[in-house]
Amino acid sequence: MNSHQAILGKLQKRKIAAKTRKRGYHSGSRKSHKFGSSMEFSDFRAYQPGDDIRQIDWNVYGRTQKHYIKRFLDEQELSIAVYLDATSSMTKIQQKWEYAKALASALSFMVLSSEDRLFFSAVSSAGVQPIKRKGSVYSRRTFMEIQKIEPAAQSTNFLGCLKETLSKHQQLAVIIADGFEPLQDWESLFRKLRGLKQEFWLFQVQADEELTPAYSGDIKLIDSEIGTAVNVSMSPSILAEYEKRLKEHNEQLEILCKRYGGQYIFAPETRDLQSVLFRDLYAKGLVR
Amino acid sequence: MQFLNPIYFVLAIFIGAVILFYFFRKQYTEKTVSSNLLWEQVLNEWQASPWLKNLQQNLLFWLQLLALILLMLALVRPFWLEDSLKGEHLIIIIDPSASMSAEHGGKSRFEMAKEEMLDLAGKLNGHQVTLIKAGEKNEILLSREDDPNAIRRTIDGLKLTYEHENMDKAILLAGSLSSGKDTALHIFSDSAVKNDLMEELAGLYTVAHNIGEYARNVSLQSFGTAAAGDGISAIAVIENQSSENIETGFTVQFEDEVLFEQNLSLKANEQTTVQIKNLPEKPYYEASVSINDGYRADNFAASIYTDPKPKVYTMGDVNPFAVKGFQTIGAELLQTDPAALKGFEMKGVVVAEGSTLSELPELPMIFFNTGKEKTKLKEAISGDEDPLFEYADFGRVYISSASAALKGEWETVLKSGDIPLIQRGMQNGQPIIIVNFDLSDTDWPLMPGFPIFLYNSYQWLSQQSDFLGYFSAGEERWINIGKGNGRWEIFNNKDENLYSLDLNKENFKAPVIPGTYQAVSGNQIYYFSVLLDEREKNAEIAESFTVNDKSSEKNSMIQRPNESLWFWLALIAFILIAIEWEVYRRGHRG
Repeated sequence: MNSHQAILGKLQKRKIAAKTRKRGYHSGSRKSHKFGSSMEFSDFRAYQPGDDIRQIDWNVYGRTQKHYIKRFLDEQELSIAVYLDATSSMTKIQQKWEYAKALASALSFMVLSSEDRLFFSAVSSAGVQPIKRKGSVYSRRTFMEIQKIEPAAQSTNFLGCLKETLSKHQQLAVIIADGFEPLQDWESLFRKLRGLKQEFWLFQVQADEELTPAYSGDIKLIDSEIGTAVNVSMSPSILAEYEKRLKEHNEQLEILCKRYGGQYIFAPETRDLQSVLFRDLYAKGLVR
Repeated sequence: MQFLNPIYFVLAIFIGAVILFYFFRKQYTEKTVSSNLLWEQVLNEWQASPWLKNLQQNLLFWLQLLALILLMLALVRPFWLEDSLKGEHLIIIIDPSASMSAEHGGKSRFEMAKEEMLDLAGKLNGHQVTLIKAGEKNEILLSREDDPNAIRRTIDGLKLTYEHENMDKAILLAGSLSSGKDTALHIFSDSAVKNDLMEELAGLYTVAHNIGEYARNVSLQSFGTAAAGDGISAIAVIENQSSENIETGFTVQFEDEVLFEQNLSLKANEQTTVQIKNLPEKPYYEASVSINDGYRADNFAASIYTDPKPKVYTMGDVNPFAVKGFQTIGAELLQTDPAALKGFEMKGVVVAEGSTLSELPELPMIFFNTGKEKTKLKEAISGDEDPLFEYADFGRVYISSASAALKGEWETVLKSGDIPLIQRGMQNGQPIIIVNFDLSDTDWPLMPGFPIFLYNSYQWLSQQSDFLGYFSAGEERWINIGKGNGRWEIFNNKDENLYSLDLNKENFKAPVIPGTYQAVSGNQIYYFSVLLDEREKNAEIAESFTVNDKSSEKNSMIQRPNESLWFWLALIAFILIAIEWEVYRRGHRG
């Protein structure tokens, strides 16, 4: 719990910095381009009948004998969706799943504690009810809830499910996944997100075992999601080939992500979670 | 249907190998991973990688090509000429006689012969080998054997038998075993001489390997002992078979006790006679020549002192028919009184009468049981076939009554119904014949069979003494042991136990090495001597020679085609096909 407290304390001071100018419908803590009741001065405007007389700037009237209304910028919320890949490929390896949940819960906490609206969905074919909350009062509870998510028994096709559960009225979509899907599927997802005018961040979480497999001998590899088997006679050259292939795949995913205007954050299991949250995101200017 | 080369059924192991391959094909351990997406890509790429594909195709091409070439070469049946032993069928005669034990430079002639035979066996190339051991009785140890290992094993296992070689018979046997012109005869001996027999053997190609070198041999030709006057005297004949004068020591001893010793100087090629008088009485005497010549077996002789005609003692009153009977067969008869015999050393056969066996000397004995308890005989007399009744017919003998049998373990050889009439056995380790009826109750002494029975008994009793006799090397002989203990232990003169025999089940078999031996049965010790054959008492060597060599080659080698190559070619082709199969299989895994 103490480590949680320390992290939560640090997270509380951070705020997600979305580049989008779009804002949500309700008031929040983010500057809006609309006029409102925040302390931020915007401009003056001549009084029109029907305006609230309380907004007349009497100091300006005293100097100019004209009625001007002083306008302030509004502060509005940001709707942020966090999609956690909860298909079998993520939950198969325990450390990877824990890492992904920790990342999702930390991001969700950061969203809620900065008075933004959170849409959290653990995406799997099992179909879990998404969490929709707003306000820092829920922040801790949500954090704990996400930590406690149990993996569904057998679940496949993350990208397909994600397209169904995708919430339209969001300003930012945070996707936490391992990226073991064909690139063209990812591309169609990115295209859809761009079409919805949503900013998106992709956290690619991969286990150490996947990055540098230490297999040897003759192994029948079984896919955790679709169950297909591949017989491989492991050899250093075939392992090197795999690692090269994985690196290429990840690079192409990053390029694809950037082409559609998204942010790509590579978060392998070996990289400390705090480093990802407080250094990588900060360096990219994604949190303040 | 028949098979020309059933040996190649061993290739069935390849079928087994294929089945094994099938069982031990790749076993993949299962492992669940997050996603196979990349692995599939990797494998597709791996299998599709051009250089591997090329190599694989090329490999298949080359392997197929090579296999086909090899198969073709195998089918054309290549052969080449190579040196080989003459004859399809080799008959080897080995001489296991005593003279083959002569040594030169630490190796006996027999060992050298074995080495030469192994050398010969090493050159075999599909030959059949028949091995004849030319002892007194010829033994065929191998008959048309073509397994080189079996031949080698048999040659390695050959042992000297110290008998005289019966070479003529062996050559005749070889002639009968030969299969015409393809047969070659090899004789390994030391004294095989060219004789007409070999010429007559239908032109059998014959090589005599006479092994050994000239030895400076001194031979103890004969040694004997006999009673002369009061003491025992011995005579020995020693021959110097070399062409130089030799000094040697001559010793007569019993076990470790030296009884006589003399240094002799022997003239070249001459015999020397040594006479020894007044030897103390011992069970046996061993004479030896101390010179260390190459041939040791004839430096030694043993003689066992034995009285061929033991005296016959009659104890007290004996029926005069019996006394007369012994006189008739020419035995030296002494009439004695049991009371006067105390402390007197007797040696011979005892004839006694009475109703008890006690208080009689421990000597071979004929005992007439004249016990008072008599039974009338009612049934006909019946007897076994026995050496005691040889030529002594009991058919018309009348016996009115018999005395009650004495206590003891006897073998009944003559009986009437259940009543034993004549019994024999061992008493205090000495042979005994018991006649269970009084000679006055029968008309037997009047029959011609009676003295013959006495003679047979006399012979039997004297044979049943300590001395079993002289044997030739390894001789087997039946020895009558009665119902006694058939378990005999044979010891040499160094008291080492050589072997044991059960004479109830097997014949007595003498050891092969000449010398004096003891046979122990229960508390009785017998002596016997194994003598070297007279013909083996010289170590001369004959020249090696070859007869009936019709071809121009000097040696026994001949050019012979070797056709075994096709098998190896086919084998390699098969292995290549197996490799090819494996390459093919690896290329198509999924």
